Amino acid sequence: MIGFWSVFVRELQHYFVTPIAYVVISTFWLLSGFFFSFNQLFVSAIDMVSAFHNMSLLLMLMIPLLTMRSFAEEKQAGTLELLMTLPISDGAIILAKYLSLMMLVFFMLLGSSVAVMVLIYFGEPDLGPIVGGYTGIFLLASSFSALGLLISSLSANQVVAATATWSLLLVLWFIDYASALFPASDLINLFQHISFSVQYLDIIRGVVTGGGFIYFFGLVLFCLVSATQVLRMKRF
Amino acid sequence: MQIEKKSEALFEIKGVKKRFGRYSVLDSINLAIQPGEIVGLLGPNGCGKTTTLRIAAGFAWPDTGQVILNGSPISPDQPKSRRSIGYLPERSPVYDSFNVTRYLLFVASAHNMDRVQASDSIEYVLNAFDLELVKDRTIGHLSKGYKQRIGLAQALISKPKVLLLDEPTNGLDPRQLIEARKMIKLAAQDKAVIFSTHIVQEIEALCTRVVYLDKGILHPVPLKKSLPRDCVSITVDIVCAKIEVLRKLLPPLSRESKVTIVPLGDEKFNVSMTIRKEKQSDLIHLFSKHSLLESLQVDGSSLEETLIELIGEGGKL
Repeated sequence: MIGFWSVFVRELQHYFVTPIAYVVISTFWLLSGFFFSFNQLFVSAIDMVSAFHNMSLLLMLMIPLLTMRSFAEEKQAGTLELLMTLPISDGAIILAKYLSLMMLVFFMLLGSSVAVMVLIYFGEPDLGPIVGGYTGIFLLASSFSALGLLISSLSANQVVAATATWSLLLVLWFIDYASALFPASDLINLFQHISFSVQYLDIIRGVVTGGGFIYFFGLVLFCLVSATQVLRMKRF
Repeated sequence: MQIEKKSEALFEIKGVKKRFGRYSVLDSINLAIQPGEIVGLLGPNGCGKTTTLRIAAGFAWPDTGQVILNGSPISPDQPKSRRSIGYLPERSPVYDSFNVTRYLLFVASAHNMDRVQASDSIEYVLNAFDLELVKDRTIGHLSKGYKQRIGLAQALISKPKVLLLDEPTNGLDPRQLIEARKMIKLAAQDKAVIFSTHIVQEIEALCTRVVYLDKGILHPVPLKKSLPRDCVSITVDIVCAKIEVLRKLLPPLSRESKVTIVPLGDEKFNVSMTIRKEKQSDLIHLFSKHSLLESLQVDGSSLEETLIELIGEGGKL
């Protein structure tokens, strides 16, 4: 992957030389901490199910704010032309941007794990579902990020990119509702399988199924390959 | 149209065609450039100058044809092939949130340079483009002139063999313009340079060769007619008994220029010279006074006039 590291490092630097990383990460920590504390204090649950539920929603709100700039900002600033004329492959550009996003998501989830320390300190939580839950949330965030990156590669405007990503995530979240429209159809299975809200029910309980893993991994792969093709199309 | 194809060209654009939908932007253009040449790519807005440079830089695919550097093709799907090309797009491609050094370090690392090579190159371009004082400043806080210099610096950081500059002096004030010209001349010493602009004066100040892109076709523009703006080339046919008389008359007018006198026979001589425009009337007056003048031809001197001759109403193009 020619030029991967240079773009990866540049992307991470960009997040940290601007307030983006600090604002997004601290807001995520603050809100997920608040929801976790609220549940512990008022519901007294010694698990992370509610916390994972809230994290999923927070990530759905915040990831489009991170992904919107990936390509739309480069197009607005005229730096995409530079990137595409440097000796860097299109695949490396996409992968570097995506993995730097995932690095940020990793920091977000890492900080939220303070909640697990609290649970361990005050009780004896079952760590299996917690580890599974974090794995699932990370997979969910991976697919949000990949979708956002793909949308950003298609748009020249950051607001449009963010709005389109939110819309697409909402459609994929609620798509299982559409099964009510086709009650006697095979589409029910399809809608339920691709619905984030159905997949996430397993995730927040800490269950990552083979089917779920393949779905998220496939979605990520599809989005990254498509984004690479979008970049390639710009060369014609 | 074939433009002076030379056998040992460093950089070649061969038979490149490009269409956007029904609109043909480039129609089989050819251009061969030697090291040390600065080729001015002139043309009206929207004629395809940027498309030509994008294809030359390996950013965009041509529909047909190819771009060759040192015998190897430049291709968008072969990133390594772009290592010897420095490209400055129309808008200086800088990251406003980065400081100058960090930005140049990114470009150097994208060119696969190690730390030592990168810091040497960065030091060189910072000095060459007078950026030392602002090397730790955030690019977003710098003036447009500085951003343009940083853009030029990034194009040169990998010590490319070919430099492609898309309207590099656009939007610069007169002082920045003079500085930018100096930078480009400095940068172009041992490289093949293509310099696109629609400003004729820029070409006159910088280029060793000029091509004019219009309706997808590249036309050579003869630079031999491109004299300094304050000079004219004059050719006169004179009737004079002795050449010595002529030689006595001419020196006061022709001090700054070589005079060519060709005897035509029958006491006629053809005299050609380049003189300052303000001396033109003195010359005509002198010849008329001595009743020597048979015919006189004043050649349009500037590139602008040459271009008007080529592309103006009733022009050759």
